[in-house]
Amino acid sequence: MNKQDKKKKISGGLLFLIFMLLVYGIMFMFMPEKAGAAAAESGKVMKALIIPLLAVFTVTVCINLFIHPGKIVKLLGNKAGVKGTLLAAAAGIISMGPIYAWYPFLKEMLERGAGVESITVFLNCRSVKPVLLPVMVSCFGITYTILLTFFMIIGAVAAGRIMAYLEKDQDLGGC
Amino acid sequence: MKTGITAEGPGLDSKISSRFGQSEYLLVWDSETRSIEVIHNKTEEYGRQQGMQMVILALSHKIGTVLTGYISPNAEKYLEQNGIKVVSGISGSASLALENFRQDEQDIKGHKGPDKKPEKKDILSALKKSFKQFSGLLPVMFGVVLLIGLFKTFLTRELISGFFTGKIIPDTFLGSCLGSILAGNPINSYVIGKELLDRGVSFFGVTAFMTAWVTVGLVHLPMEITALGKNFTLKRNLLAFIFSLLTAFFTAGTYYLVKGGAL
Repeated sequence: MNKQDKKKKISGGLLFLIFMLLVYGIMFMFMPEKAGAAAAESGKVMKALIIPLLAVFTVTVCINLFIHPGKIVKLLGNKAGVKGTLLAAAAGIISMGPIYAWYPFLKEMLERGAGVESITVFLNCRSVKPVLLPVMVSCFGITYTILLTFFMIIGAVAAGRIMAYLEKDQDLGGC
Repeated sequence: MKTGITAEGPGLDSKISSRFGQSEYLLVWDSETRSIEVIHNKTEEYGRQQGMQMVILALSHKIGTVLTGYISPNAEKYLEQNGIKVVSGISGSASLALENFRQDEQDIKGHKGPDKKPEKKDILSALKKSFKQFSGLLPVMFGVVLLIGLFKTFLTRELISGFFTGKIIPDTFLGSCLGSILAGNPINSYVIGKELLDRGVSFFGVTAFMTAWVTVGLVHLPMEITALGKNFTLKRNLLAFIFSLLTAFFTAGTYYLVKGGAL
């Protein structure tokens, strides 16, 4: 990414934030009750985001400090194989907190050599949450919970394989 | 020993080229003379033979290791048959790639053990790098949080329940669509899913809804695009949407089969 692209992306994020603030501003003028409720919901989400964000920041610092990109390429790179898939799946399953707290970490991993398959498996395996399984069992029963968990993991791994194929296919134009 | 790095520009500060064959520059680092030689690969002159031209360049400059982004199996085979080690899947700057490669080589040789304690400057550098990474994504993160607030306010449970028709295929598709739009703690999707089930929606629609809730993120799209790129984000979310439908059909289908209930 050259400096111009980087600047463009950062300003894109800022523009999106400004746009959202404008939407809220307009809503406060015409429907203040709804705008207040939406702002309160956003406040709750933001509050819930603080601890996961700090945890993910700590993990990112540790990765930056202790793990060289070469090791990430070996563990989670395009040629990491079954072990890489299992590692990404396990990391996705045990990762806690909202997904948007994990994007900076995933960006870092991608830049340090993790493959698209690992990133996809991580993101899709987040649908399986061991700590929430008792809640799912109480809502839908044990049989359904086992089936859903099984098919979600299979789906995540399959999506990862397809993503790796699609990205590879795109690159095959050259050598 | 010489190390070849495929790069987009003529200096070590350039980005690693994502494709070996289409790399415009090959930077050759000689560890003995500690010098760098810049080779301009005139890609446009070789058409479909670009990859082979890069293999020839690597051989003619007696390179020991090639550091690159993606390399095709054919090019990799030619290089390895000629004793050239290939390290692919690398991104970021050429200098960082070279530094890390040399670091890994040193680790392997035992010059610097993996248990080495980080120094204060390493910790500060890691903190600075991580902070930079996070702060770059904060504006879009705040924007996404504001968007989630809007969705939570306007898309109420009653409204969501009202969309479902009681028919398997439309409900499954609708479940995936609604799950893709909404976001938040998976527990909320279970609660809404249970409520939908109680209101007569089948497991097909409920499963599609809960799977898409976590795996597809329309609300998160701006942030995922900023972090992981537009191409990756769009493909991944489209695939996740398709898989939410497949997961629904497999899970609910097997469930009704095992339980012997009506579809």
